[in-house]
Amino acid sequence: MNPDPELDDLKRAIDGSVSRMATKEVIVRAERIRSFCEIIGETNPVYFDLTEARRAGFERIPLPASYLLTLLTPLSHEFFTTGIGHLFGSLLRGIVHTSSVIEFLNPLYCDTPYGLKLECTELARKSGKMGEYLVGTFPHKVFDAQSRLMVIDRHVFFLRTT
Amino acid sequence: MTRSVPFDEIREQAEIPPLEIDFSSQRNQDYCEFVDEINPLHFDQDYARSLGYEDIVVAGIFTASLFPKVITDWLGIRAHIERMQVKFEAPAYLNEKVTYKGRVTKKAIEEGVKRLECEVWSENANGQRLALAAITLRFFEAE
Repeated sequence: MNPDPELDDLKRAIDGSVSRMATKEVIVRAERIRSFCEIIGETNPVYFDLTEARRAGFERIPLPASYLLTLLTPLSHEFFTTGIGHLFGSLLRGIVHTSSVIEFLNPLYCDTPYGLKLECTELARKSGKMGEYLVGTFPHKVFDAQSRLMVIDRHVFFLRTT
Repeated sequence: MTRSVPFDEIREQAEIPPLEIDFSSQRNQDYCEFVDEINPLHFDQDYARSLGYEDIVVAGIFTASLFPKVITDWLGIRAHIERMQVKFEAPAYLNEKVTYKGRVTKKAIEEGVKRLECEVWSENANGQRLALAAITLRFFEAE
């Protein structure tokens, strides 16, 4: 692999920015899940009726697996604006989410505090029919109040720079 | 509403009931507002076209949110999704009707744990595949 000092510098700068991003504290309220379910057409009452949730064996209303990517959205938004926006300025012409690998290690519940944290583990250059890209792997992690890892989503983004 | 398909009745290569979703302007707008979307690719047609796309691209996190629903519509919440790998292959455009389809690729009981591996994909009205998901499910003990 050819040396790419500019890319190495950028990776270090991203790592620095990411390390300065505080863990984002979130509590998802049942009303928000109800709204989400309306948007995606989810009708299973387990996701918005505590009695039904308990009947199904849950102590609280569970977050649907469908909601996970949405739960992590504020993390990506912060990352691409205040997190690393200053590193690219006007050079960043588009952000495309190309893949995700999600591991659901423990169930998530409404009305429960969680911490969201983002990392950057890989960064590479790539070119394609639509121009030059940076390809980055950005694990998004969800922790509970005891710092147990609940979910990890390894997002891959194409950052279009030309 | 959830159908109840016992683990024992599920066969490898069995088809998962399809799910059709209309990513209408209204639905997309509702979702963009819900997540305070900042990427103009998902709400600004001129911007999307300036990047070479045909139209507004529905956010991947939105379209991918329907993959778990395909599973829970079929099996209910008796099956916990352990892992989901999603690869986006082509954009889902605004106002497209997208169909989610899938099949069981592996069924196993290992150390008493019942698991299914499924392949689920989304395609547009032209039959073009938009995204592919590999999903691993674990059935609850009580199943």
